[in-house]
Amino acid sequence: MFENLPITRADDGSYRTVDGGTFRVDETHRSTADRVADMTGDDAAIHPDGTGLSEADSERDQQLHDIDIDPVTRVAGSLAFHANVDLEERTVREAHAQATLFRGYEIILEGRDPRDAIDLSSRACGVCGAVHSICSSMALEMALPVEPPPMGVWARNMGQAAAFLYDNSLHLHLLAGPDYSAAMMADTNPDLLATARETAAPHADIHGYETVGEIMEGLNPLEGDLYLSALEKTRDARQMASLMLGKYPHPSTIAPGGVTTTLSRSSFTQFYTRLDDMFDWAKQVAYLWDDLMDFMLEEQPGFEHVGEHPKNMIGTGVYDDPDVYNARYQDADEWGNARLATPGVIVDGELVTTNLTELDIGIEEFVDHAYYEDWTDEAVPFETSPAGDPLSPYHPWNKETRPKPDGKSWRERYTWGTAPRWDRHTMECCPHARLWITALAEEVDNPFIRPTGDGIEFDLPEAELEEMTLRWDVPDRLNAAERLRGKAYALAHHALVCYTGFIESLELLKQGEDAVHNEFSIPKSGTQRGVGFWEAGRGFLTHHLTLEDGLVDNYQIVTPSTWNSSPTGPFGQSGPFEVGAMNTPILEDFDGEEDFSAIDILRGVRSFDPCMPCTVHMYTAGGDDVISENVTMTTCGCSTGSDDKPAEVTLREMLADD
Amino acid sequence: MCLDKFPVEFDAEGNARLSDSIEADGTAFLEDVTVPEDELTPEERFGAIVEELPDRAVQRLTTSEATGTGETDESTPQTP
Repeated sequence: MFENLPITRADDGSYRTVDGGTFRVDETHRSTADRVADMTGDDAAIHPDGTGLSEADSERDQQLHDIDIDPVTRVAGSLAFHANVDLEERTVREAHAQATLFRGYEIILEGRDPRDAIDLSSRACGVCGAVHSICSSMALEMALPVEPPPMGVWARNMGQAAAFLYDNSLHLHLLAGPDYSAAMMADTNPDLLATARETAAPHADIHGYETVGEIMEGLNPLEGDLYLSALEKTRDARQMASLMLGKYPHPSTIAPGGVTTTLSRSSFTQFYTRLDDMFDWAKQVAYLWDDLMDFMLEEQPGFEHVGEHPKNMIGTGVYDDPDVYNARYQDADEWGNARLATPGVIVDGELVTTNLTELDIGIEEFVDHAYYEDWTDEAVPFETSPAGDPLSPYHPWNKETRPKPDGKSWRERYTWGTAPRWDRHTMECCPHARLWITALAEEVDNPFIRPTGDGIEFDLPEAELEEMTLRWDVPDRLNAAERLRGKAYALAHHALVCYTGFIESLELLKQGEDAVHNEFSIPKSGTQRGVGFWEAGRGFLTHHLTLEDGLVDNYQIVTPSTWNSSPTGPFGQSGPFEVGAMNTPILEDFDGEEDFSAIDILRGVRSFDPCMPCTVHMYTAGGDDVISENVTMTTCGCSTGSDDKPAEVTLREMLADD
Repeated sequence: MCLDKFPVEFDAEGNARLSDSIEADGTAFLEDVTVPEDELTPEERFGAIVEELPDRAVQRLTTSEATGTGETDESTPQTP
């Protein structure tokens, strides 16, 4: 199971530390400036302000360019991206993901009433509000403990699946989609756009776009009909989430032991009305993105390497079975494997576990290149998990958040993001990882969602479109195209979870069961631990908490973007954004430096769903020629350009220029 | 702009403000998701929900029960 951590499985199935083994990371493992220099073959100090490279490598100065994407936020915080590009060789030499904002939720929650954690952690993201609330409430359910009634579990599942219908539709069409819009392609890939306009869309009868060029026109920001249809669908999906969870984002109805929503007749009928439309939306989106991504892969050689990353994925799974879920850590493997999206870890394309306890004990967070101090100089509070398995000092239950903002260069500390690793491997997460793990695991037992070992079949009911079975196949490689395709097929998964929940809820009502919540109490003394294993729209999410005498003693959140935007960690592994960028070839058409847009790097990074508004700043090594281009915006907030113009103004000016 | 029901407009500077041209309190937006409480027992609520579903949905639900999602029960209505 574990190749790198010093733990082994005993005959009775439990884990123990190997004889003489230690979790400690010594200086030979640490990622330092010298170590990064060895990795990149360049010993120059490149600073976050863009200086350093030209002095170090003047003979190549004319073809090397620093590109900064800022912000590309981590959940609701800021995330910047830096890459050094060789325009002549059309390669990316160096890439760094930089979380530019200290969130501090861990510190905010210290010493508070644990019930505050649900509402406060929810504010980590405006898109994923219910995600954090539910994950936090599940951590508390384990610590208190309390178990929700079946209708409470289904309300949570249905509300969350509806929120994912919103979230994934938003990313596909409003955040990543514009990178493939006709407006963008006309600038960056005009020949490809011309070909697209002549290429029939194979599934036009389902989604209504006759050519791939029409799909690209539909993705034009603010005016394309696909962009606007998706916007309307995000609203419908949020309403579905509101019907189950009271409001969205940041529902106030989520609590340990279930939800406090009033679910009346109208809640269900209004939910179903919108769900019926979502069945068709899921069919159209899957085939539409199949047509678009297949075109890109076929007509643009090299696109298969855009954003490419090794097939290492992790997911906590989501959508509980109320007959199995009991909030106990010791039973987490059983209730995790009963989920409608299976938890698990894939290393080099192989599924190595679907057990939440093994997933949990394999997690560590490192701060070699982050603005934090290592906390392992003191004795850690927990040497074992609640199941008795050994825990690393770098495990979230043992982590102490010690901010230390003293970053000086890309080779040293440059980000507020930590470097999570599983068994000391870099991992990525997103809906494609959820599908991938679920497909390989074949644990889901549902009449509409059928994993086959090499894919998943989704039976979508008739609505305006006839009923149809969609099939998502496990891809051969992990790249931007497959991330977006996976996200498109994930809509079918979410819609069918809503459908399953609707049917199961009716069954509960028929049996006279409509309780959505069980009471709980906060212990006033002692130490309790809990962890929420849930997923955000883009995958993996954990909240680890420790209670001490009725108050929060420690609270640690690991989000999907923490994994995806990870900086380089010990053992010399760069994070997924960074690796994806460095594997990306420069494919766009440009005559000179002034025409270069970095669209291929952006397509790679955005395929991970950084989730947030992106203002792209591009400047030459000297930093004199600053270009600010607003690419997308979202409901999460507005970005600003270099001259502080609001995102909408910048975008309108772009459209006017077109 | 695209925010047709939310009472916000953006001025030339890109600043958001409440619109004069549409209802300022957002009632139209909120009405979409207003849920009146009912006075029904769970069993009555089940019947009322099924009554309001389209025929094809009811047919699908009964089929779903037969295929394993939900437990088959003779009281399940075959038609609304």
